[in-house]
Amino acid sequence: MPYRLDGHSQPDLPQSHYLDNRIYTDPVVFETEKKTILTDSWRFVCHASELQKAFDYRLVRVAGHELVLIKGEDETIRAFYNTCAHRGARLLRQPAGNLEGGRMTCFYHLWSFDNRGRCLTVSQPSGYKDSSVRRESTGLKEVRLDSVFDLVFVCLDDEAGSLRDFLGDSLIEAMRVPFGSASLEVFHLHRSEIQCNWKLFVETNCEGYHELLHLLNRNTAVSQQEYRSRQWRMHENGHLSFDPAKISYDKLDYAERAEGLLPGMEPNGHAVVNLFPDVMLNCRSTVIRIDSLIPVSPGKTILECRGLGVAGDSQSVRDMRIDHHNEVWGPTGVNLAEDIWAVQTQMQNMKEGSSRFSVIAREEEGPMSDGSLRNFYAEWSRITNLQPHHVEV
Amino acid sequence: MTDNSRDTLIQLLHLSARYLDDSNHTSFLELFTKDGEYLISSYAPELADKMIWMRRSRDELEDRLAAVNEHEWEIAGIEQTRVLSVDVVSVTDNSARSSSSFSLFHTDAEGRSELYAVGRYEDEWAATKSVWLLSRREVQLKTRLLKLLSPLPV
Repeated sequence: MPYRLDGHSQPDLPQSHYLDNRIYTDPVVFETEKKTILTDSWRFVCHASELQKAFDYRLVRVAGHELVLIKGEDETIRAFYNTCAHRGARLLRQPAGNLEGGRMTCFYHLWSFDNRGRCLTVSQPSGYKDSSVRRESTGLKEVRLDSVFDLVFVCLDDEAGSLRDFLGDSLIEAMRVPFGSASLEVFHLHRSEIQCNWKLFVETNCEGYHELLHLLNRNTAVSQQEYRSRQWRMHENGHLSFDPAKISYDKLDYAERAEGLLPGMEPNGHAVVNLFPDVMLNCRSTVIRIDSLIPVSPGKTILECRGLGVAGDSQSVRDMRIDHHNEVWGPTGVNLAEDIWAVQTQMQNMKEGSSRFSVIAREEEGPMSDGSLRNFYAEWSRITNLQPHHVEV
Repeated sequence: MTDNSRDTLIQLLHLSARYLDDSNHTSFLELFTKDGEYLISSYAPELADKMIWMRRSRDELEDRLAAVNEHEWEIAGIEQTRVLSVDVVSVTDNSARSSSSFSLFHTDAEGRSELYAVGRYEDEWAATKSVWLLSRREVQLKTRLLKLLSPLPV
């Protein structure tokens, strides 16, 4: 039979230009990712503004592990496994809060710990007098934490390099506007449970070809010459940035985004930075969206979306930012529902084996090149030692 | 207003649910005053604050609903059924407030039904020439982790 590109036959393309769709569905691939990329990389967990006061805490999930982030009296944010050192019970049970007296007490046997993870009390300590268990040498397991421009990251691998080495100088420079230009604050957070593999959502956030899906983008971006000249820039360690450009919001009768500009941003401006493996910083002139992912299983992912503005915004400016955020990317925005539906239909077909191969073969100057996807999978392959074009089953 | 305002408002609340179930957007919009406002909100425990998910004037909501067929929104193909309990209605002269609990079920093309969301409609009403109209509806979602995102009214 003559060769056809039909999603079932191995594409007649270079190996870097197509994907074996079992990378999305195979449980062994997912477990490998959990033990490598999702554990060894620096993972974004929150913005520093989410922990305002001393003893504020947040629970976050990284590579299946629940961690607690706590702001100390010294203004330092620290991360620990949310696990009692005694018998492994869950230490804190609310998604966020403030530790009374800076103290955490396990509900099971009442061992307590301070905000730096040091053990304060071991209940009925006389029972341990003949063992090595001592309060002074007991504590919570701390996890490496660092931040850049108030974006807080953790790394579960004690041996991995620094956050700054992971991000690299060129990417940090690409993030400087607006993240390094003002004190920012999270004003919105929502989560969506997506029935798809995490990489499928990463792909929607780092390729411009799918903008054809969105009515809004067809009218405001794809039709513009300036947009079509934008390039994806590859940075060290799989990170990406997308050249800044102006968007024609007027073509959809949206208000011009010239008021309440974020510091350093131009009217109707747009810039994107993708942090490997799974974070997108999407900056428009008046509002920032941060997408991060919590991979749960091969076919289930939690998408966490944040909206950011300038700390201390007036109520009217904040309301405007909320509206601009919601219009496109909020949980009721016009684009997000389309992205999620698209990746869920992909996953359904891949799960059933109705689609065995995907093509990432676009080679062109401009935003619709698949070079950004090939860049992602080159890094993915380097870290996992798996081949994206062929999964051994 | 007449003594039967309470009954009228309860009837209108049930109609508002039925109009959305039937995708009868024109009739749904006619329930609002010209300067009416529609909001969807949800509490985010992570930030200990109420998140506004949607805030649109009646006209902006009309624009959104008119664009349904131009977008690729899965919700447009889903059958919806709202079960409503009107819990509180208080009438004062030409204005009123009501609070209703709702459950929204989705039925897909294969006939599978499942609970989509629960929450409350917190409504403010204004009476003009003996007609009650919604001046503000705030949908307070208790369900935050939605399996399907919707740009349409809940």
